[in-house]
Amino acid sequence: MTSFRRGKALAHPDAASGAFLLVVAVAYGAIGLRIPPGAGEPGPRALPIVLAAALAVLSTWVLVRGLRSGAGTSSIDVPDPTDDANARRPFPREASLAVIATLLCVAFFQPLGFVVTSLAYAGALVWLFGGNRRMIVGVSVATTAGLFVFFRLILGVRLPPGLLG
Amino acid sequence: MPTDLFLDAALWPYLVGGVMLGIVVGAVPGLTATLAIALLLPLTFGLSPERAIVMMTGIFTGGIYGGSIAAITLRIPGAPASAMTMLDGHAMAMRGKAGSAIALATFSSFVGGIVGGVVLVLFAPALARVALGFQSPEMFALVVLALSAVATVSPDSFVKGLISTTLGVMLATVGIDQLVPVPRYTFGSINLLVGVPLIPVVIGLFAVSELFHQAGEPAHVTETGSPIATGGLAEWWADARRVGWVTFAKSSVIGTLVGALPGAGGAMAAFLSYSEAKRSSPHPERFGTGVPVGIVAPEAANNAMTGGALIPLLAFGIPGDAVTAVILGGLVIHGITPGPQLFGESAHLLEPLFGAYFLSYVLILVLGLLLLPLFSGITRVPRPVIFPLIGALAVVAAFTSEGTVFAMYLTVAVGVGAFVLRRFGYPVIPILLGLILGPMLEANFRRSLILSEGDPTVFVRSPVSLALLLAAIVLPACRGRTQGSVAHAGRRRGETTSVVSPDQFVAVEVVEDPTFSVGRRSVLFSAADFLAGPTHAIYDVRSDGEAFVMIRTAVPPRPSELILVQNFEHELRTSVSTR
Repeated sequence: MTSFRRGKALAHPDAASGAFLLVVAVAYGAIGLRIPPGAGEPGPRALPIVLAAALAVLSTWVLVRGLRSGAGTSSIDVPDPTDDANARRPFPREASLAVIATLLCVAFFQPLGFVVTSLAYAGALVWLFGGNRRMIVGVSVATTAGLFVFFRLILGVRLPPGLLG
Repeated sequence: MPTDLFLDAALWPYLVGGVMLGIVVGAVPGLTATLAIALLLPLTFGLSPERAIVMMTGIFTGGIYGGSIAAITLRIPGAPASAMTMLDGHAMAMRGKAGSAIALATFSSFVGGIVGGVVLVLFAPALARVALGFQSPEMFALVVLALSAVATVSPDSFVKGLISTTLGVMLATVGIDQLVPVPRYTFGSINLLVGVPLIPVVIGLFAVSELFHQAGEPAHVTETGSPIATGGLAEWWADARRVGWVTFAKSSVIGTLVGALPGAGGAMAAFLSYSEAKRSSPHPERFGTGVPVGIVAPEAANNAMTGGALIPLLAFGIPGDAVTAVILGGLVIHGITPGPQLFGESAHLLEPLFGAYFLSYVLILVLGLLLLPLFSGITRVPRPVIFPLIGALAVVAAFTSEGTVFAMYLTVAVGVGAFVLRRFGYPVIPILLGLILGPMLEANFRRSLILSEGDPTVFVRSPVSLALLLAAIVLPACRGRTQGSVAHAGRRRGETTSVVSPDQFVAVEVVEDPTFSVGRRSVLFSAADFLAGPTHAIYDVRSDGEAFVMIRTAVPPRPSELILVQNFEHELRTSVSTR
């Protein structure tokens, strides 16, 4: 039997998201106030100010609703540490790894080149999605070759050569 | 008005390729037509506008149709629009008639698509002529209505839908101001001077966030195990005849009308059509057990929706949902601006568009019936193959779209943001609509006020503008009413949906946005004793989600019994969480 407990840190997911969005609204509004008013009525900063105010009101509503509803209506359950179904965690480990792999792929796309990064990135994703060694090699090579043929040879896009340049 | 709906032979390969790609991507569980177009858009970069339009149309229609294949064979809808098809389609497949069910879905898609196309060809030019007379206040009101509609149909909460819409419009304010040469939110980056580029955002919202989402899902949630045999192919025509043309026609009209409404989309079209077919059926209790009409109604409707959805896009330049928003982005990239002017200066592009639309449904009919076993096999593509391909394609496509690494970082940033927002119950589709419609909203808002010298009553002086703004206000108020009826098929609360199968009441974990995936199923209780009445559903959920009511047929000499489940939401969550 799978058991779940309410995670303290995310007991009020609406409160957490509402608070974060409120900060976004304030920051967006503060930057918006620095936009020159410009000629004409209304000027270029009118909409940003309206949007900041709207987001502030809406996020406050979500924040208050989250605080009022408490842990009982949390829409995100944190699983028990003994639970094997950790996929319901707010930020699953595999998702975080996928984000890191994608960021590394982007960071090294130009210095290492398309072929190397694509091979490594596709291979990492195959591993993340549970593929075996043969799949890691096969899928990453096939994906890289397919993308190269399509983008470089058919569409004529200049892909960074990197180490192979 | 187009006179020739048969395409130039040079365009055929692009149409066939588009339809095939659309079906393939649409058939993979979890991948929608929106994702298909977002990922495949870069494929059209080097093409002429005509070829690009033809290919995108093929991907669009093929993607919508493809969703039904996994729904029938695996009980995993390829897209939200196919969720209703799953009920009877899979039940029919379980009886060894998967082939007949897919063929019936294919034929229904063809009929619905053609009806939607006829309405599109007849009404889009007329509406475009009306739109030509729109001034800035009317256009502003129209955009407000579209944004309100998109926020209203957001699954979890209207407020969260509004927040997502606001975030999208905020993204649209980045770059040099449209009317005054002043940079806004560019933070000194030359990459942002012309605004946030659309394609990296689209890829981030739909492809990259889906990649992260799927990476965090356990394999069993989206696993694409072996589909059941596609037998019973020979019986589909007899089934179609038994269903009758009235259902085909009614479902197609419902789908077209719903498609033309901003924000409604294929899922709503399929749901309303299925409900209407069930309501008007002499045997509503048979729905969900594998009746052909349960396939015809949703499939005809969600494919007719494609024609309807193109009407506001082409006539007003306003996309009604995510997939047409992505199509709009693709058209703009190719220098085509949908709206009234499309019917004037760019009228030569309408012929390939309309022609591709009709021929794509002919292709769907032919390919769907001929290549049925092949498409059915697509649903078996393993996760370690499909998602690495999506990931690698997404980052390379982002690079290709702008030719900069900045675009790749933007894609990842948007992907992470969308992933987090989805985890907290915020829909991401309104972000895209906000980004696309934001400049139109602001330009018309400011122009209206400048022309009226700051008088805000300019927005309610015109009857059209007033009516559109009132509709934008009334729509959210109708939300509760709509959700009440949604409860008949499955009450949505965050990520949990309750479904009545033929003999069991089942709680299912469902994620609907931006793509549909189904999690674990837990049987709550047997529903075998609860029979549907001829004119009403057998159960409902109170509007606050706290109580659930089912009516059971009285067994003499006992009186009728009313079963009331208190705190239904909590019971549902507890049941799902503990299994």
